[in-house]
Amino acid sequence: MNSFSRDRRLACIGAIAWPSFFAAAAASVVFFAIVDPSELAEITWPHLTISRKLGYSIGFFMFWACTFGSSAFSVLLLLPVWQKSHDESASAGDAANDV
Amino acid sequence: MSKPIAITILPDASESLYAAHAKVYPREIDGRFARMRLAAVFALLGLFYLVPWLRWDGRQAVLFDLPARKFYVLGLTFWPQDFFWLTCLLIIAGISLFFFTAVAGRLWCGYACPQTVWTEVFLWLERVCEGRRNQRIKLDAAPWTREKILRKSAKQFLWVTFALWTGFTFVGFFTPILELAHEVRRASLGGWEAFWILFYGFATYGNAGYLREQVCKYMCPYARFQSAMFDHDTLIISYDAQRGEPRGARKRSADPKTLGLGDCIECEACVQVCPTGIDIRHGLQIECIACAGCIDACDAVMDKMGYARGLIRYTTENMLPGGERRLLRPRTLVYAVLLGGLLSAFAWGVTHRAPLIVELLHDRNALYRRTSDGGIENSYTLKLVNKTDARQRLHFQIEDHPELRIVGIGEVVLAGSEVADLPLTLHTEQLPHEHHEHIELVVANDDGSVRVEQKGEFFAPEAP
Repeated sequence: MNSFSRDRRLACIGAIAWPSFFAAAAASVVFFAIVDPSELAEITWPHLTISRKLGYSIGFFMFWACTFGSSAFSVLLLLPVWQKSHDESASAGDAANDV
Repeated sequence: MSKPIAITILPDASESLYAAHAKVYPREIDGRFARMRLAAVFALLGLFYLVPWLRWDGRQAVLFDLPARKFYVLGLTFWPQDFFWLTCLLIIAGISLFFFTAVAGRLWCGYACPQTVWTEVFLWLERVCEGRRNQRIKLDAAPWTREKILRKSAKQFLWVTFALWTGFTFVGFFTPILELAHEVRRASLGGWEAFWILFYGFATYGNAGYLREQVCKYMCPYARFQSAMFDHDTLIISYDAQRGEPRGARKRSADPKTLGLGDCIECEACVQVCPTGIDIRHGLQIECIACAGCIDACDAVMDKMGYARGLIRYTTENMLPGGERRLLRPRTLVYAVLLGGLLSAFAWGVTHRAPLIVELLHDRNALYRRTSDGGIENSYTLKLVNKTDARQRLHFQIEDHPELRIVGIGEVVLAGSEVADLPLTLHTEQLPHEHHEHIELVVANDDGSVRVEQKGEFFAPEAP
């Protein structure tokens, strides 16, 4: 990761945050179209007062946490592959310069 | 007819996707397509900023009321149960995108995408404060003087104000905008409203002010898969290399033929106006959002030089070497038929939605109950939702089972949009033949214009 430029790191963060945000938004829409957050509150923590607005927000951020984690894990698994191709292209560049 | 064109190999584009970013300073441009885009900006943003303020029958005309779980669109009210239609609408939007892309390329990107439309406004605000392209480049390179600070802060002030207004309008689609405006005036804004206004405002500010073409190049999924909808007859913006090459500077009076030159005078106007910072003369590129800025720029130059317009133009891969344009082809026909079918189904379905939702839930604790007169009773919860804004008077009846009597409710009057949970009991004196009978509850209004059938079960002890 150290040899990765700042731009590449930014690209990684973007590749994690943006698709996960998109997926979480879509999942929230589908989920809450069917499930009423106030009914969900009743069957989970009836002693807490959770308004619908709070329910929607909790749901959205929960979905985002899941999709964000999944995207981050994908990037983590792909890092060695990128690192390898990055090193190869760097050494190929060096070889070309030597000639 | 065709002449050989020297080909230059450019660096691998995939590498440039993660290369350090150079700021793009798009030059201001006037022309046919720039005016079309301006019209689109006014129409679309006008709709966005005005629609929440429109009234309909004493309420907000378009309101997605999430806390009440009801969507109002003009005269229509949508309930969570109508989610199917929203899905249908999204599929229609998707297929429209496919259809228009197959026919006319990236029309969406160039004229209608919120990213393009808001970037256009932010660029205009930037131009008002910092001047034209050359002045902006100079200003950015110059040291921090009083004038630079003033110009930059004026720009930031306009950007932030516009972004906050955008966020406010966005939240106004979900919270009654008059109340919201009232809360903003009295500084008593609710936590979530404030959060979403800032969130959406910040997203607008960042995307339209700073990220701009990078959203299209790196973030937009459409830019990556639009090529799947392209074929040789799709409208693209292309440089006519046969006509333009070899390019080179020349005097206006010079005859390019005697100089051995094509029509491209290498003025770079097409590169300077490009909002994504590409050179269209390198051919079709993923970064091109088909804004047609380069066409306007090149046409103006061709006019000045006294050459024919259209060195850069809307064309197709088939037309470029002199072929014909085919509008009707299997791909466009399939999309058109699908789109037409779905649109008609949607229009019919939305206007013919059931005005009433009926749910019959059997008691979970006891399947049946014996009564003192030797009869059998089953208990239910009846959920009724009046999806219209008008009052409904409803009657109940069990079909095909004359022995079953409804106990407890006779007639129910529901106000507009009212939701009711009612206990309902079915009673019989004679033991049914089956342990488990399928029944059908019919709910109808006075004149029979509303009639909903709901299936259910009636349980009785096993026959001895």
